[in-house]
Amino acid sequence: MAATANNNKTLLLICVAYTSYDEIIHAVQESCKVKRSEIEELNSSKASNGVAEGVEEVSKLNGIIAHDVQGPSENSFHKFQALNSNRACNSVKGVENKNGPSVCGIQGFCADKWVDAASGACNCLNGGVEESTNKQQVLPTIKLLDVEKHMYMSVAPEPDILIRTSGENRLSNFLLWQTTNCPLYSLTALWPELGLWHLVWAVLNYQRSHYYFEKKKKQL
Amino acid sequence: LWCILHFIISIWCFLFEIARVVESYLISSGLLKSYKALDLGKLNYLAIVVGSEEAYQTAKVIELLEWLEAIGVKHVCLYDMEGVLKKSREAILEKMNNAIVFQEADERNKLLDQQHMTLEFASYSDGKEAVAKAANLLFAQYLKSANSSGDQEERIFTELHMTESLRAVGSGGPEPDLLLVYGPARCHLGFPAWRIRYTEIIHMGSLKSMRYGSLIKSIYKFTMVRQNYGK
Repeated sequence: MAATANNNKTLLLICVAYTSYDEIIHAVQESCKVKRSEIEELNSSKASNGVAEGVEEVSKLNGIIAHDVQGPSENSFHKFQALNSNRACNSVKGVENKNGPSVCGIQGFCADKWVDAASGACNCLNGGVEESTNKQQVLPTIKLLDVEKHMYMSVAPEPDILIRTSGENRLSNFLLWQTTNCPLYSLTALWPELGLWHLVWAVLNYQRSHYYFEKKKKQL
Repeated sequence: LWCILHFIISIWCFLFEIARVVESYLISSGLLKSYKALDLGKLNYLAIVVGSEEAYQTAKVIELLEWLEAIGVKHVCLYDMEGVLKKSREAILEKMNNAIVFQEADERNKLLDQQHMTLEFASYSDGKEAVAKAANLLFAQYLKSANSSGDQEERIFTELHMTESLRAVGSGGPEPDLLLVYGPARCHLGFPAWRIRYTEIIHMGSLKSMRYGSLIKSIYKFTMVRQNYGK
């Protein structure tokens, strides 16, 4: 490595203990983490806008988070309401309308205000369900570009040629994602025996199919 | 200089092509004994990638499927980048009266059902874009688990999660054992990346010059291959 430390024309990437499966999963996971932090930023900015509490809790939902009722009282009526709300919250993902006065995550309401709050929040919620479905569409979803950004191999462009030694015709979990438009060659020579003539032959073959791949790339 | 070199190579490839035509003729006429008995035990799922310009030749595709049926291949996936084959799906199914479309729910039955040939049609949207959709599903699960048990730094997604989400999104077919590429170059053209990790990829030339003998030869070579799965 010391011998090539001052080279700057070509870059050699060595993959050790690498599989495409692992790369794809890692990329998805990183995108999830990034999106989650984006959502948290969105929520914190919404909280400072003074939206009504019931609606605010609904807008935090993207259909699958069930908020526990905070500071629950001993009243079994409240518990029953909380149960209903948990079930109903889970079904928002299917964009179904909630029936009845189910309320999610009301914080610190005391018992005598409950009934007023429930009816008030119910009206807000029915409006909030539509609002939350609109917000669902606005909530960040993971796109293809996000996943590609987090791949291990995003530091390098897609390969132009992929050479597989030892005559096997498989990719064996290597660069499955990045070889969409790239000719794959298998040489019968084993890795230590790879010589100049093998490379020349691979490049000549690449030149023959170059026109076809340029056309493909323009189509994308 | 390069032009001369390429000219020489073209002549070489032309001669090679003639040799292959002769060989495939010999194979189809049954003269070469080693190709007679094909053991299809290893070949559970075959995938075919067709270049999009050639995918319009539906008659050729149907002929190829008929050959495969004659050989005894039961489960085939047809792929082309732009989805042309998906559009000609009705025409293909009409001509192949012994074929049914691959359905996820029948997966358990399909391996036992020896009468029909199952066909699956895939395109570019079943590859990378399906992974993006599966990522959104996994994202939803991630949010749920992250909120209930605090921050987790360790790996929470496994290969199994990914496979399940891809299946839920609708592109979770089985992994092909053999992938035949019919096109100008040997390239998988975006076939769903999740499914081809150990798939043998063989280039068959272009669709209009497809030959029965080359098909037999590729399947035969596949049965001779030894795979080390690293288990």
